[in-house]
Amino acid sequence: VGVEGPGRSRDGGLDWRASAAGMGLVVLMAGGLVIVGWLLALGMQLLAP
Amino acid sequence: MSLPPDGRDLRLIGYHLGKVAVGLSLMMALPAVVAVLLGEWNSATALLSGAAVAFWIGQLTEWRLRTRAPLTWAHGTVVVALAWLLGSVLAAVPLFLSGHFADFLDAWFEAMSGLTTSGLSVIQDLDHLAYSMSLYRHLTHFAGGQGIVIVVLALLSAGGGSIGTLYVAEGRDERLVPSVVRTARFIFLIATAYLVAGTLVLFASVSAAGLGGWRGLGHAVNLFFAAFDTGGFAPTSQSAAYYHSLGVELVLSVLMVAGTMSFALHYQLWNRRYGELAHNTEVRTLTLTLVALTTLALYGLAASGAYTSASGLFRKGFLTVLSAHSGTGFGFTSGTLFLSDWGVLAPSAVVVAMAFGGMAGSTAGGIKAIRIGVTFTGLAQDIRRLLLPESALNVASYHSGRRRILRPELLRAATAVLLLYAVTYLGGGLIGLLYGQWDITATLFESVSAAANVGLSVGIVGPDMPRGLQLTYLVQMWLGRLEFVAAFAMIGYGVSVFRGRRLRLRRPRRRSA
Repeated sequence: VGVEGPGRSRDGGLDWRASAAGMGLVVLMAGGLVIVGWLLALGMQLLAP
Repeated sequence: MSLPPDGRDLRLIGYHLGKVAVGLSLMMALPAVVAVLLGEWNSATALLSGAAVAFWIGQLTEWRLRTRAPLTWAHGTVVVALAWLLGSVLAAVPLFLSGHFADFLDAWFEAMSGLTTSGLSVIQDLDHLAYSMSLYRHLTHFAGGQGIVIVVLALLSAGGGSIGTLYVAEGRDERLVPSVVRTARFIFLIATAYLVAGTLVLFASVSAAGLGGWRGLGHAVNLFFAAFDTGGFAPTSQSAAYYHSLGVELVLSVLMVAGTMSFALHYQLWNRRYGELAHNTEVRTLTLTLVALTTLALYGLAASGAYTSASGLFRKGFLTVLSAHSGTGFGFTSGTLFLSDWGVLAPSAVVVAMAFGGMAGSTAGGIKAIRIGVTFTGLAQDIRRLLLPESALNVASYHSGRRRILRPELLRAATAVLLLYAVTYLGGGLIGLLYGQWDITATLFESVSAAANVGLSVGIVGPDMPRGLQLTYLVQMWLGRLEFVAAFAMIGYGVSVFRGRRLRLRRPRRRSA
């Protein structure tokens, strides 16, 4: 009987799709934060006294 | 454990500390192989000598202290606290023998900084450090970040309840899967996946920045360890600013965010529970504080005239706040500029970002987003209690894997640790003032950086720093990594051992019949 778990399929092998999707989402989240940072930088450039 | 502890307790603790020593010797063996392959014989000698010392200490405890006695919670906390002390001393041996440190205290400080994923450095002539020694230096982040104790015990022992005891004592109080060994393996699975992907992307970006070949690959591997394990060591003295590459900085940003995320959150995402990213209290808190502190820092920078372009504000300001908040400590600009050119508001925002830290259950240090979130949730509950009628139901909750009721004991524990961090930050700042060389801004910056295991520096930390202050920061890094509890348990254990001996000395001997 295989071991089900994070990043693993029912037969115990690595579930590449789930793992890649999880990592992809982290990259998206980081990318979102970077975009927010860039927008804030743009905003401060305009707003600064 | 009996109170006062007896010889069996000490034997059990010593036996498990020996396993940590063996694990460290394995960690030194890998860069030693690299040193031999590259023909860096001085480095190879230093690494093999360190590995031999650690291995024989481990073997000695195996021969003399081997025991099958079960490990209790009290033993676990003491072993963890001592493991960071013993581990850093052993890890300092190859560094000291490398010739890049003035004395053993400097090497010990560097090793403690590496294993606690702090990144404060007192190394001399970093830019001419051998490749293999540089790899070893960064590998301490990986070993420390993934949890030196859990690594050693998960790999070397047969498994079972004793590992669980150590795992929780290390400050990662949430078991991701029923078996702690499986949890440790999952943590390594995540780290390995990110190691492969992150190193490849970093290698491509440093190559594009003009650093190709084996040298570029070495930089990529080292930068990965420092970024994903929120460490902050870098292969060169200019840290991340060395590459002058937006591409490298963006890849490091992604890795810093991934590193500061809890393994529990990675677990949820790898299990296709994507909604957790939107509901998780820590993610919300971290995003909110990061945006707020970035706004303050960038406004301060723009107002002070330090950077006037959006590019400068983003690459120096935002990335520094992200580096501070994630607990990494990469330098995207010279640290001395924080006090000379950045005004007051921007460095203050960086200090607060360092103090807050990343998520619990990650390699980041600091107070942690969950404690900040829970404390504010409790505060909001108290305010609601004042406004609502007495008969109204007033239940506060937070989201971590699932919706959980915020119980008073959890709130009390969170605020207690928050208070301990605040006292440690202030204490280190005040001790720095005793030397009369710096003002409170500088000493507080450095103290918070050490206790929150970040690694940014305004220039106090260095090879010429006062020895007393160096020891202070060393203790702060240790306390911050253990989140106080294990360290206090060890001190309590030491006191009870001492008091037990005194009792025995005072107790009259019974005469045999």
